[in-house]
Amino acid sequence: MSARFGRGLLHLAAAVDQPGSLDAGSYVELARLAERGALDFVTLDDSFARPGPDALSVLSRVAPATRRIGLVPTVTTTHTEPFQVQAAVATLDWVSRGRAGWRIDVSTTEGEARLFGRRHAAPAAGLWQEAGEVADVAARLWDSWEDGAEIRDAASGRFLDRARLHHVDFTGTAFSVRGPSTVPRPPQGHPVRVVDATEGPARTVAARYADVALVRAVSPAQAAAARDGLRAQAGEFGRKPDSLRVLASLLVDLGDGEHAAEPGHGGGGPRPTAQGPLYRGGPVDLAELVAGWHADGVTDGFHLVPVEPRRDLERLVNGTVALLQHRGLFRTFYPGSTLREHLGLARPANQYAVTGGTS
Amino acid sequence: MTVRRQVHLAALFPGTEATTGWAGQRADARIAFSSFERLARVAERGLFDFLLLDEGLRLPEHQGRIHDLEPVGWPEPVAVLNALAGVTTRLGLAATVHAGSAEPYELARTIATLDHLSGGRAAWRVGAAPDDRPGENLRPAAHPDRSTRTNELVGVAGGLWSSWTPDGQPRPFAHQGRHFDIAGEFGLPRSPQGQPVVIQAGESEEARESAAASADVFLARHGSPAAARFRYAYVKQRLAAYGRAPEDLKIMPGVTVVLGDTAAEAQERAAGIRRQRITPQYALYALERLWGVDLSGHDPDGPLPGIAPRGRDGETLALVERWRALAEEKGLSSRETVIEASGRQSFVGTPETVAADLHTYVREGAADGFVLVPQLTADGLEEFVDRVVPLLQARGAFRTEYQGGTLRSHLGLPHPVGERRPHRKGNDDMTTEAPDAWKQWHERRVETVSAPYGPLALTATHWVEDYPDGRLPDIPGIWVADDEGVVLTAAGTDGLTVDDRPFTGAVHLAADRGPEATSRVALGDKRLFVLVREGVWGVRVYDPGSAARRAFRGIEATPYDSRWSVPGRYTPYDDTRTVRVGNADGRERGLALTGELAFTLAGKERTLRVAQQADGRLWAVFADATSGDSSFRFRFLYPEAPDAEGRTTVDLNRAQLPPCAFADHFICPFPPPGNTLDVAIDAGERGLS
Repeated sequence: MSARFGRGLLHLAAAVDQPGSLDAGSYVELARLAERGALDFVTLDDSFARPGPDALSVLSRVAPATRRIGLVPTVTTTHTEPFQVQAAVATLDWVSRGRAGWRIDVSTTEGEARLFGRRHAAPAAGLWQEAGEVADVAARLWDSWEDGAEIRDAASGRFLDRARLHHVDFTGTAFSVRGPSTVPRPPQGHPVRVVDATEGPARTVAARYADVALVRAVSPAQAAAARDGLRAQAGEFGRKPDSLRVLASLLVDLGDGEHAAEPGHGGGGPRPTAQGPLYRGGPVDLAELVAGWHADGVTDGFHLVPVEPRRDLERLVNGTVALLQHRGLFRTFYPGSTLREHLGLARPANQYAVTGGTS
Repeated sequence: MTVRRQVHLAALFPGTEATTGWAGQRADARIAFSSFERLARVAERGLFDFLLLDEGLRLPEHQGRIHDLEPVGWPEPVAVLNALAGVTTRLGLAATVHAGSAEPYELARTIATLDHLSGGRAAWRVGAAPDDRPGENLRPAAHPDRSTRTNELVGVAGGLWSSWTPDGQPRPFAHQGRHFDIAGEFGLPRSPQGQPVVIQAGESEEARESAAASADVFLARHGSPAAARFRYAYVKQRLAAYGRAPEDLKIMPGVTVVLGDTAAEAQERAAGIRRQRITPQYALYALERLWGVDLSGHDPDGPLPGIAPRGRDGETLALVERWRALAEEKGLSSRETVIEASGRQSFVGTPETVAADLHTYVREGAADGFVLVPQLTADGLEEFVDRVVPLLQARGAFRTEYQGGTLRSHLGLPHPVGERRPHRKGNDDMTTEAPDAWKQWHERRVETVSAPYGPLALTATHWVEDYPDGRLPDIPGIWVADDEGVVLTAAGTDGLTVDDRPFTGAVHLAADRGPEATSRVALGDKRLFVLVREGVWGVRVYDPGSAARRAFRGIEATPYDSRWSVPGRYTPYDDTRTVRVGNADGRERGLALTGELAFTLAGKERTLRVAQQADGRLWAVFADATSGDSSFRFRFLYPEAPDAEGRTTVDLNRAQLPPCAFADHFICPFPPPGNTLDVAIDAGERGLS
């Protein structure tokens, strides 16, 4: 067994995907439901490969209708502009007052490539390397305005203190950016970067740049191994392992009654499927699983993806989460207001600030 | 009939425009969401048509350094507008996205998302910043010639927005042009307003031509009444060349307004705003820009620089000459000259005179409305809303409440229902327009059903569970269903293709999304389309050489008759209700119904139980007294998306044959209980010719 760092706070996130839905109200409703359970954040997946609305737009719409919950859309990096991706994520942080995250993903199919016609489909490894560069340049651009760069100094007539604005002069393998950003530094400094670290090439990006890594594990041993691996690799990149939260990502199907967990499910743990590990059973057994894995220190928490959005999220919040709260294992209210605060992650220092401090 | 010309109003959130001042505001006033929320709420209280946000691609520089005297730093506009959609209900939401760098698919997708999420209130302002320098912060454009990029981009975006059929079926698109070579399927159905509003700007000949060709709103520079009237007439008369009516394009100059209780007070405030904005440092900056040299040692309170400007072009020399003359004549310092010569507000006066002036511009054909650029802070807009809007209303020149829910309805623009051209110009024109629109609809229908993979091409529907050995009649390969789809196993000799490549081995197939012509599996010309109904997996065979398609001679339809088009009102149920109904294949399946559509026909109030589709349109399966007699056994109807009050049009001229009228292998639901009308509807599609 590897060394444990003691049990940290439990973190819970849920997906609010509703394939094909264009109804803003239904997304607001699900996010509010998750917020009622005091979950850390909700995710909304996105891909040019299938129909549906732009995820960052949907969660921007949800932002003013919620107060505390973190909002994490998927934004892909293959056919998009790194400069505009970071501006959009920073803007989500502004409109949500510090609750934005960004789930980084790539577009691997030829079908997506044809929608843009700028390049052909490429192997995932190269695309993830580029995604890592986008994650990197995004953080530089978020830092390209120091806090307090906007001075509005009537005496000198200056709106900006340009000494506190920085060109990032980034040259990557597929793009270059001069900077600075057009958006002032977002409230969280860096919105939370989330990477699904299950696939090989994505794991390195997660270890290097992610604040939250998602891993698909069917057993506590598998989750522990993934977490240990990511933390060790983060260390190799010069990061403190505790600056990375690793959440186990599970599909959950809570449609089968209050307690009954099918053989091979529930108490037995999730079952592997083509879409990832699937838990099928009741909300109470799910609470047992969550509490058990977390108590053993194999995961910092869970990212739960309902199979049936409304039904399962409702059962998750009113059943599983309520039970975890009752046992004192999960927060009952949000002590902080930003997503970083929910996750227990510090607001990062600005890499360009000479003093290293923030105002 | 004389229709009083209505004024349209919009607000621009202050961008880098030199009209904006900033002293004395909170430090995050430009970026905090609360600033945008406040402005949007004020604009909506003032019943404005829309709010426009600008996009920034780079920070402006001056003499090789970031320009620090003017407000910069602004959010990505589309995300902010989506958030604003949550705190407003009617206000139009317009985002600038620059044409020099946008990719059509992504652009069309984000604007269409905003349009759907806001219930039809989105607009795209086609930005054309001369200074956006792609390559500095953005990936280089595929083609270096940017002059033709804008037009191509606008055209492609419009094509994507209307790529789904009006009744909500996805269709593939393909475009190959100088700048873009793209193909696939757009991810979103048509929006609640048919298409997002397109706003173009610019004073160049190309910009005007481009606006006349395809824009809905033309953002112009403010000018004198005479100049504005000339431009207005000039642009409007261009529309005819594109088959458009003058009212299809709204011309709205960007203006600044300063109010006062008296004319003198207003002038004083206007001058005060200019003085506040043009600080000594800003005055030097303005001189440096004109002279083209470093003037950091120059005293802004002293006379204009004595040296000659670096630029020798006529425009620069003339402007320097004019400033010198002005300074000479009035004895002004450098700074006073800049204040006097630049940043003049468009309308300065009492609320009464400003309202009268604005109304005059619109009444006399110089503008259709105005985009207000707030002075100094958003407070300026509040004053306008409180003091000028009521006077415009009193003159009968501005709405007293929003009439519709979409931006198109605020602007009085037609809802584009057809493929490209709007068919409906407004109720007055229904008598001449509607029959033509119906003819086009009918032609499109014939085209659709007789397409190579249209409903006439369907030759079989096989349910995989009916064939335990996995061998479907007349189709090679082994087909086995599991929970998530169908597993197809085939050898090379079977001749099947998957994703248009010869196929050997095993592949897991999810349901094809359509259209049929793009199914993953094919056998020669035949497309094998995977579908799932209530958990049962099936494969459909579409054969362009089908007997039905060869025998097809047309759809028998009764020509348009206005008495079959009546207003309707949709009332949604609290929850979707699923009823079991028989299907054309003899099985019974659930039919989800979302509400009831009430209308009056032949002197009697009637209702149909309908399902609202993802694109907002309604879908009714109904029968009537002609069914099974002079018409097919039952028919489908797709009324337009109802507005906020549930209003829509029940146009039975567009009653259409269900797919099972064209081929035996469809599983159309029969009309649910209550959907058989006891009147003979001698309208719409009746049968096959």
